[in-house]
This record gives sequence, structure tokens and C-alpha cells, in this order.
Amino acid sequence: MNTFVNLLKREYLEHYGAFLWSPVVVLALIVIFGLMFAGGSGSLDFEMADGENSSSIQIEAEGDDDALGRALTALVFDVAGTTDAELSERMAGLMNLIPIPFYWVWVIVSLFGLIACLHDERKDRSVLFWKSMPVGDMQTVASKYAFLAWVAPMLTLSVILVAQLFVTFLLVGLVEDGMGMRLLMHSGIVMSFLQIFVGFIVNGFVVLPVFAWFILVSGWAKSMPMVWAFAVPFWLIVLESIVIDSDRIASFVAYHLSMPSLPGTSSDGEEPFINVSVTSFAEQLTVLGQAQFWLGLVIGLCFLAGAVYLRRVRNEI
Amino acid sequence: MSIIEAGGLVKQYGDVRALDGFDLEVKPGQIVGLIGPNGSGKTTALNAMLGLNHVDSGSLSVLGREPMSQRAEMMQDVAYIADTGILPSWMKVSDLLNYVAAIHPKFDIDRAQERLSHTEIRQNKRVRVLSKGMHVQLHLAIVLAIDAPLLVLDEPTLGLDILYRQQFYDAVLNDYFNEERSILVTTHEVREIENILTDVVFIHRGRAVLTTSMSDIAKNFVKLTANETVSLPAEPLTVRKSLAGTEYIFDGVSREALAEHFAGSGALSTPNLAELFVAVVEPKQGGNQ
Repeated sequence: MNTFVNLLKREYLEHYGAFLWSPVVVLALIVIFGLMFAGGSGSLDFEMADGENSSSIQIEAEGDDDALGRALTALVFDVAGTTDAELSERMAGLMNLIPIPFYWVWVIVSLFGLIACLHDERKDRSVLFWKSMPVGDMQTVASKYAFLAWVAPMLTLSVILVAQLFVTFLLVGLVEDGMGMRLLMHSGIVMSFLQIFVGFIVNGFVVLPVFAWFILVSGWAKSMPMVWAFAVPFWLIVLESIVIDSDRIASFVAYHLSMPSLPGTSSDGEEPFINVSVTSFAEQLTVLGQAQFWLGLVIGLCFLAGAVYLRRVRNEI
Repeated sequence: MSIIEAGGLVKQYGDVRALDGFDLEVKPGQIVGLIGPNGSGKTTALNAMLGLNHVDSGSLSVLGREPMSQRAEMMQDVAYIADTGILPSWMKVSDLLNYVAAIHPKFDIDRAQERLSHTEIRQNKRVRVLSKGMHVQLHLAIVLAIDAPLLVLDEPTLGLDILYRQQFYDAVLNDYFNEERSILVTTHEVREIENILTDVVFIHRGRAVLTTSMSDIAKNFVKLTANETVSLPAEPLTVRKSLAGTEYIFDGVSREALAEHFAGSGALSTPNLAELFVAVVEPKQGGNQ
């Protein structure tokens, strides 16, 4: 166990830069757009279609006091005119909207980390050093997976929290006078934090088949592992659709990358604003009752076993 | 107990038999040189002993363990330096030392740091910025701080300049080796290690063609350098023309008998490892006149 923790530390040292700085870039974008929004001035035309009635709203804002962001916020949130429940729901929607770009950045950075993990060490021959240490291949592969699936998201989670705090306090400053405290009270930021935490823990199992596939290809490919990792499933999907006219592989991959346990927000559906796709812990855990989830675990574990075998026998490109 | 016991190792790569019944025994207190050209099976044998490759058949035990299935345990007692820099280039020296200290129960980080303090290697530097020589110094500092009964060196001084080479073997001899430990070393530069070996194994086409102690070489092999054609009292292993005259290498012929036979018309000496290798691997080279 102690060895495993030290292996996670090793992974952290290798990867923390990528997993820290990539979400920080997203955060910086949010901050820049947030500040532009808050300080911007100008005019906007809204065309609101609600069934048969359509109305046009024109907002004009000039100067510091009547900044556009302030006017928009007042219009959208209308804190004074909403009930506590409505306010909480809106804030939850927003809190769950913010992490979405961070999720995808995490996935993309992870895929790069995964595809490199058993390939680069063979390429630069450092695998010979790692193998000269008293550490087994199973532990090594497991630590690489565990880091990318569960430890790296905690870095993402920290940056998400900062982004949520930023947006919350920005809104506190933008809503109608005297309503800031009320907004803060109903921000739901703590709940969101806990839900994202739980969501990532569960998601670490959901992504297993996809992530383990990348590790397997990383251990197998002599060159261009990323191309192989995408090309093989791509052609299988094409083949499947031609031969048996179905899309099981595609939907399997899509499901395991869809992060179903993580709170997010979708804009489809009937509601005028936004839907919170995951609202409770119980909902986050519904994946555990889905056959796709368990099938993914089995397939993922087979891929990992293959990766462990390749780590044992392959030392060169 | 033997440190390494390998018997009849066979490893086939397609049509090529990399190991063809290779035998090796290494005992405590031995410094064994595994000598052979590229493609002789040297690396395959070494990789098998380090738990990096399976062999197809034969028996192999390193410190009482089966290298491939028990590599993690075995590597607590085996230290290893490869022919090229294999330390992870992205790591800082200090992180690397801390990692080994955390993972390796027999690593003494103070010893490693002490050794590094005598070098120009700064611990806040990344491995990738170190020169080849410094890279080897760093690896050596790590390896010499591991309390392991077996040290495996695979062409450790390849690409190093002469100063580092000398320091390298001095450090290994002074700060690692004792009668309870063993070293297995491979190299092209036979001359470099000739005087530190206790034993030597010539490997050719996947077989150990000669296994002997260095002291037995002087006992069993004699080189005769004669500047004229002489009648030979016994069949030599090899005959070679050189600037000094014609060189004959004999196996199992007593020095006294030769000295008596030639009585001043030739000089007797002990062949060096390179000469002996050629004599053993390619006997009768140059013909026997």
C-alpha cells in the first residue's frame, strides 16, 4: 500500500503540470469573460419566443453604473422577484454549467497521459530504470490508472471550485443592491463541490474501458499510439455499421465518455433556461445499476490485464 | 549459495537462436565479465537474468528467485546500470532520489547525496540537462547506495570519456564490491575491465564457449610469439601474424614444456582477453602452418 502511494506520487510529479495548468487556462478564460461581461457596456436585442407570443426586449447600458452585465444579471436572475427554491435551482444550474469545460479538458489531458504512459518509457528506455526498482508491473499499471482516473480529477476539482467561487462572487456584485447575500446563501456551491467529488469517484470506474484501452495501446504500439488508439475503434465502428447495421460500439464508447455520474447542465428539453442533469447523489449512482457500466468494468479490466502483461514483456519500442 | 544459476537457457527469436543452451554461475565475491560481440546473446541473457524477458527453456535462478515472475522481489537485491542513460529525463535529481528512497527498502539516500556532493550535479536540476557523464555518475550514486548483493553492469561506460571510465570502475570496486557481493559486467571494451575481473565467460552464438577464472587463464593458456617459423610441440588454438612475429595461443600446454622446447627462440606470455576470445571463438584462424 505504501509503495502504491509512492507510485501515485511519482505519477503526480510527472503529470501535475498538465493537470494543473490546463484547467487554470479554462479558469483564466472564465475570469476574462466574466470581467468583460461585468464591465461591458453596449446594447443587446433579445428576441424571446414563448409559444405563440413573441416579444422583443432591448437592453441598453452605458457607463459604469449601468453596465450591460449588471442589467442582464438583474433581468435573468431577478433575485428580488424569485422564491428561495427558484433561486437555488438557478444557481445549481449555473454551478453545474461551469465544470463542463473542465471535465472535457480533464478527459483530453488524461487521454494524452494514458497514451504516453507505457509508450514513452519504452521510447526513452527509462522503463529499464523503473524495472530495476522493486515494483511489480501490476502495481505500476494500476497506479497509472488510479492517478489519471481519481487523483488528477482532484486537481481539476480544485480549479472548478475556484471558478465557481469567482462566478458566484461576480454575480453577488452584479445582482440588485442588497440581494448579494441572498444569492450567496443559495449558491449551492458546497453541494456542487461534493457532487462533483462523488461524480469523479464514480466516473473513475465509468471511464475504465476507454482509459484502459489507451493504456493497452500505449503498451502495445511501436509508434503513433494515439493514431492506433483512435483508428482501431473507429474502423470497428464503421465495420459494425456496415456489416450488422448497428452502433453498439459507438454507443458503448459514447456512454463511457459521457460522464453520466458528474453533475452537469444540459440546455435541451422543454424548460426555458437550463436543466440540471444530475440533482442528487442517488442520481449520480444510478450508473451502478446500468448493465453498460458493469460491462465496461469487465472489458476495462481485461484491457488492464493485457497492459500489465505487455509491461512485463516489452522493454523496447 | 550461488547468486546466479543459469542452466541450458534457450531463447529463439524467429529463425535466430539468441540463446542456445547458455550456462552461467555467479558466486559471491566474483566479478564476472560476460564477453561477446553484438548478437552473441549477451543482452538476451542479461535481460533474462533481470526479469525483462522470458526464455523458452532452461533453468534460471537469481538470488533464489525466478526473475520473470518474481522481478519485483528480486530487484530489492539487484542493482543495475544499462548502456545508455535510462534515468527518467523529466525528473529532478532530488525527486528521483526521494522516489528511490520511498520505493526501495535497501536504498540509503544519505549515501547517494554524499556521493553527489562530490560531483557537479545539482539536485534541483532535471535529469535531461545532465551530460552523459553526469547521468552515469548520478545512476552510479543511486546504485552504490543500494545494499544489493548483485550488481549488473551492461556496457556501463559506453560513450563515456576516459576520465569518467576510470572513475566509474574505481568507484564500483572501492565502494560497492566485497566478498559477499558479485558483479556481472558486459562490455565491448574488454581491456577496460580485464584487470578487475575474477572470472570470465565468453558468449558466442548463444552459448558460453569458455567459462574460467582469470587465474586459470594464466595457468591454461599460453601465448607464444616467435619471429620465425618454428616446429610446434602441440597443436595451437590459433595462429596469428602480428608486427611482433607469429603468435600462437596454446590451450592446456604447460609453460615449462613450451619454454624448454623453444629455448629462447620465442617469447611466452599470457594472452589477453581479446586475444583469447578470438582464439576460443574462431580457432585455427589464419591456418596452421
